[in-house]
Amino acid sequence: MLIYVIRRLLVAIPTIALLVVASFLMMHLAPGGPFTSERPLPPEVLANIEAQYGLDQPLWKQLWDYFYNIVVHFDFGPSFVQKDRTVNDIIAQGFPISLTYGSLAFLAATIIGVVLGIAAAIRHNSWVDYFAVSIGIAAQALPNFIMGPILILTFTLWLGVLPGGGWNGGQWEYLVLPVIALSTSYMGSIARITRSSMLEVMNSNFIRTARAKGLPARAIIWRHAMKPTLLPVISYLGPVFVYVLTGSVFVDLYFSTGGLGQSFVSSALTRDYAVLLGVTILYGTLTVLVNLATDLAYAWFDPKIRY
Amino acid sequence: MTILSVKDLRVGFETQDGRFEAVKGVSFDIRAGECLGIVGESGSGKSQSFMAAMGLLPPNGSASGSVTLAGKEILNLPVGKLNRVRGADVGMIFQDPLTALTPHLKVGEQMAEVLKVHRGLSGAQARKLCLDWLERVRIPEAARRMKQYPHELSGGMRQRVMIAQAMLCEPKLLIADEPTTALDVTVQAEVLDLMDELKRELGTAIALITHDMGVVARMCDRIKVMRLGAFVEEGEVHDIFAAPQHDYTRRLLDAMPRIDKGESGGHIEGEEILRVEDMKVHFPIKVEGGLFGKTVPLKAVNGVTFGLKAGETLGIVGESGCGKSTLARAVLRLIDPSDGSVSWLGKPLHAMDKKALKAEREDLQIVFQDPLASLDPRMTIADSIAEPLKTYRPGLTKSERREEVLKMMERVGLEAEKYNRYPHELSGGQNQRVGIARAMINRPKLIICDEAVSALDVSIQAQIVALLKELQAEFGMSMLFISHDLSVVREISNRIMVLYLGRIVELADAETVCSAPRHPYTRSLISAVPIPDPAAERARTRIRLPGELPSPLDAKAALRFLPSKLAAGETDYVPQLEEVAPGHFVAEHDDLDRIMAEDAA
Repeated sequence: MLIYVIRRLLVAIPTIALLVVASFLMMHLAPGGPFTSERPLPPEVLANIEAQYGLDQPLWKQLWDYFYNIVVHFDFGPSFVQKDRTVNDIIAQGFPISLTYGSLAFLAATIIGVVLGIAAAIRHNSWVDYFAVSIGIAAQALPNFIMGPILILTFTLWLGVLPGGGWNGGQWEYLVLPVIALSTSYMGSIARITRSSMLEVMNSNFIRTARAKGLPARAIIWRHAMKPTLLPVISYLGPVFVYVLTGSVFVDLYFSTGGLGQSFVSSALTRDYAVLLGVTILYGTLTVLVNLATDLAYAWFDPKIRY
Repeated sequence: MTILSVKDLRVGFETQDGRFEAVKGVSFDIRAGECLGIVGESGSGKSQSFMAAMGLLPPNGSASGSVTLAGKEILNLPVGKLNRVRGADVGMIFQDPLTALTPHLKVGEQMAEVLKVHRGLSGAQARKLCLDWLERVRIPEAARRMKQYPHELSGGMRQRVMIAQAMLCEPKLLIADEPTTALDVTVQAEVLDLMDELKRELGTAIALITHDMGVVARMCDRIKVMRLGAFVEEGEVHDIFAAPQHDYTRRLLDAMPRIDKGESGGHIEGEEILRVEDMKVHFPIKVEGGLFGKTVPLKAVNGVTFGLKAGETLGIVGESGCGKSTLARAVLRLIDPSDGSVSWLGKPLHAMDKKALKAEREDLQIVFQDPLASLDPRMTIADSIAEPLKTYRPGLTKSERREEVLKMMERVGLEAEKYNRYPHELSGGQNQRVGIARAMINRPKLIICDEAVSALDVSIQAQIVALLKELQAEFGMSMLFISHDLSVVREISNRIMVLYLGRIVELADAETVCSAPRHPYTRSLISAVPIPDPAAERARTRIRLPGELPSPLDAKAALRFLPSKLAAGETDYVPQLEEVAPGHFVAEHDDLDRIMAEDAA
């Protein structure tokens, strides 16, 4: 298995390199640049600034320098838009924030979703099932950009129990609303997938065998049905983990958390090449690692999988 | 002593179209130490009766009547009380051993559970009992199997694990629901022997639910014939086979082809239309090793040579993994062979480009095993049948095409009003008729039937075989008839080819192969086929080759019948086919005694 992990990581290097080259070229293909503005700068000034950031070099040279600095100095370069800040700084500041409430949202969505789904499947066609299914559908229908304002309206403006924004070093009061806003829709999907997966597993032949053996319901569900039930959930969780980290731009916006999602989107709008590429590489690496973790988790759930 | 007594058992299912009665009031007793056969075709309610008795119906099912186990009522008991009976007093084994064991629990773990809930045993005590039972059901290397997962075992071994697990608490009754239907014939024979032994040694009563009259003839003391939820006939097994009273029983027995009797294809003379020379199909298989793994060839078909005459049917038999389906597909180039040549009417099929091949395919058709899955669910059956017409006779007008389709539908026994039906609206047998109609519509010169009747009920199977024979008599096409069921193959084929791990071990006239086989593998195969006649079945001796069918990746497996060459170190030796009598080819092999001695060592 160690060999498998090494092999996967080796394959990941060209994948990420390809990702960088593709995003780099696509950014440069689009007309305009970080220093184009409505009131054009005098040509000499523009040329000066571009020379300072190396934009006057041929594309291949820019790309080479970029790679060289990353590999040798682990330096993702200066931001083109935010003066005196490097990409390393921006990521170091925003990523821990995104990671904190993203992971919490991920955990909340997974735990509540799986529990709801299992409860619904075990009490199929009872009020527990209908209740869980309604919650699931409602949650799924509320994306975080809807949940954000609703939560602020309710808990901050109306009830006045929780702060409506800010980070404040990640104190729990500041975490609650962003985590809820981010997790609900994923929780709904996870509940739905768990429920249908468990219903299918409970109909399978080996569950019939377990029942024929005279095992109590608890043993059947936990020992026999649980692992196969969670297989499809696991494959959904991998991408979800990356989404909660990347897709948090609305949460950053509504709750002024200062996470990385906002930097990602604004860098694309302002053509901040360096920040955009830096964050892309970060998310790319994250995706590769999460996919690897998912595949490794599979082996624990299904012994048929060998590496 | 009566173990299980069932009185007026009724089982129904709530469906969207109202309540459906699957079992309509059946009564029977099972006594200690006897094997009661419940025989019937799919949908007869034979399984559901026992599922209901054991409280294993799906949520929409319900049962009424009375089921007593050793005098105590168990029907519709609450689950908690029922759980004291299930697995302790009654053991159950099911049809499909591939899915009947929990995939993520080790064999030892799932077995030990039974002892824990029913006997309160755990740890070393439980392990020892499990091991004892695995050895009793003759699983090789039982201690190692305890730590393996079900998917690491072969189908036969998994069914043995199921039996061992069901027998752990030495139940009074073992319910076996089609226990050998998914198994190869030699494995089936061994599993049946094992069950018979348990019955004799422990006095365990067995309820054997099956559709196979041959299995019944071998195993049962008494039988009940079930149809549409009710028994139509019951009695001692010898009486029923000797003098069936009910019309349905008679039809069921008549429909069973026999390996030892009845008409077989007979010899046929004609011009050779297909010649396959040294066909090889190797699949690359990834195995562990090195940073990026390595691939080894799986030799699915490993040098097969044969010819087929016009109007002739060649049966291809062998156990799962012997390469029979792969061979057929490679002949049609549905998969590309790795080596070898196929000469079709003198033209090299293996070297043709796509266009030329497409033109030839008009004459080369195939009928697959699963009739429902091999038809496009979104096309009406008429559209499916008409498709080859559109490809090969594009000049036909719509009404001409309709005429052709209707004519062919009538020919294969499909009523004209089925014209606009979809596959899911038809039964398995009807869908297979559609498959045959589609294959036959352009009057091909060769039809390959790949397990074409294997998924069908016995009586339907007999109808389809009869239909194929009629069509052959009328249109004169040749057939390659692939099946794991030797009795059916014997009935339809002129010659039979026996494959073992991708190579021919014997090839001769159908009658010769079945009544005077020469190769040890063929002999063991033929002797394992159950005969639907208790007197004949119980009188004959079986040739048991010890061990299971080895993996095709095992290099030594190819020389299983030539231990002398293995002993001489010639591991790459390829057994040659010898013509022992005109038209009777047998692969080189050592004496049976030598092979048996080798395996025992």
